Amino acid sequence: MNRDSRESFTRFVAARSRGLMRTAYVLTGDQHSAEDLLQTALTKTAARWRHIDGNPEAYVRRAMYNEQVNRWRRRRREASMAVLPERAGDDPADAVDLRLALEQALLALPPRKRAVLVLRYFEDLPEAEVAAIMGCSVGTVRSQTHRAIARLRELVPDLALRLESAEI
Amino acid sequence: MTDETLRDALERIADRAQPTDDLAERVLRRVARRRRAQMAAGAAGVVAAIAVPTVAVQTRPAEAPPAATRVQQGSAEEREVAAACLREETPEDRTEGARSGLGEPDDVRLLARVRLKRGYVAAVGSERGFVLCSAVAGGQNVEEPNVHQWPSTTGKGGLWSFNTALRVDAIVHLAEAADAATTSPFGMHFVTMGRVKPQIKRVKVTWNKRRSADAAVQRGFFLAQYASGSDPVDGPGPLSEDASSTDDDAVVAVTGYDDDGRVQQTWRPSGDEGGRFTPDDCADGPGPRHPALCEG
Repeated sequence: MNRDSRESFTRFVAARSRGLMRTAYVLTGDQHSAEDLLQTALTKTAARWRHIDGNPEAYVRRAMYNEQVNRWRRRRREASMAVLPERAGDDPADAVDLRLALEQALLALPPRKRAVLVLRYFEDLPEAEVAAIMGCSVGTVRSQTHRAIARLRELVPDLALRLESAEI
Repeated sequence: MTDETLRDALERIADRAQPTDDLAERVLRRVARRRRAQMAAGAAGVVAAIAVPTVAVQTRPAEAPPAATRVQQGSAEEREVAAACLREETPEDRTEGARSGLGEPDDVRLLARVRLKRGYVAAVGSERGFVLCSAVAGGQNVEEPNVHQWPSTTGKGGLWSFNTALRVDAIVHLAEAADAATTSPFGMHFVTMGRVKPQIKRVKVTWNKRRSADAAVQRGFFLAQYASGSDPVDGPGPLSEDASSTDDDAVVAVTGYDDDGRVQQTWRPSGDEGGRFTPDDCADGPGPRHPALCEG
């Protein structure tokens, strides 16, 4: 990497690291893993910096997504030991528990399902862009989204029931 | 559940992220270290290449594993199919793309393929894992090459160490074409893929709605397909807008026959795994659902 490339890469990281770190955290669920994921994705990006046209941020996001899915596969046996969110009771104070249960359920989703929700609802990207980052068709994005939501409803049935009359 | 509820939950999770210092510097140092290591490895490789003839004379070749436990070599055309399924265009893709998750470049093979009018569906892979692929002729995989690890590969028989005559490794939908899904409904392939022991010569897959087909059986693998499609989801809430589903499709049975046409084994799904299964589902979040196909 020559001096100009190093400078432009450093500027890019300084400008975008906060947002990228937030995405990494939502994908991994903890600070240490998020830092490691982002650093790995940025290392891949830096190695191809001169060949990346136009949108390096999309490249980093795609690298993070792919890396996270691969890491999860390597640890999938451990992942199966994850804990089910507890059911909340009928007390109005349980709204906080429901929110926590939803967060726990989101973090318990496998990365591909979680990633599609992160890109679609956290990054607020249109389906076509999500498909481009995930390297799949728009149909697959829709199908994955549908399955991820269905899984969340399974994991947090109380939330679905509670919101049914008002929002669904 | 609304998209606002989801967005808020994701934002709350993201808010826990702490900023990191010196990120660019750390990354650039790591890149420099990696480059130095690659240069050192390259120099060592040159030395090793020169030394090979001497070593080859002095050592006895290692005994090869039994042929039935290895993924067999393919033709040049089959290697092209493997590259298309892994979406490889440049040598760099071979080290950074899906192939790196499957082992050494030469380990990856075409496992089984069903030829269609406009292209094919296929499974490519190695002893580490496999990728399912939908492609039009001359084109690349419509889907992102998604590497699945083989379930149940313990024992001396390697990939064929499972106890039965056949086993199912994947039941999935693959999009027909990259641009076919901008509206709902759209075309999908419903694919069933797995492994067979040598005594199995023919595999018949039966789906719901009275559909069935013979699978392509090659080198200990089988793959069957039928043309499906997605249906619009008529669900409540904004998250169901434009959503589509393929939940109607399901495998009813997979039957393996020997040379004389005798049934050697019939596999039937337990629970809802007949609708969809990949090895990824073996850790599909928490809960009691652990597909029987995850086991040997």
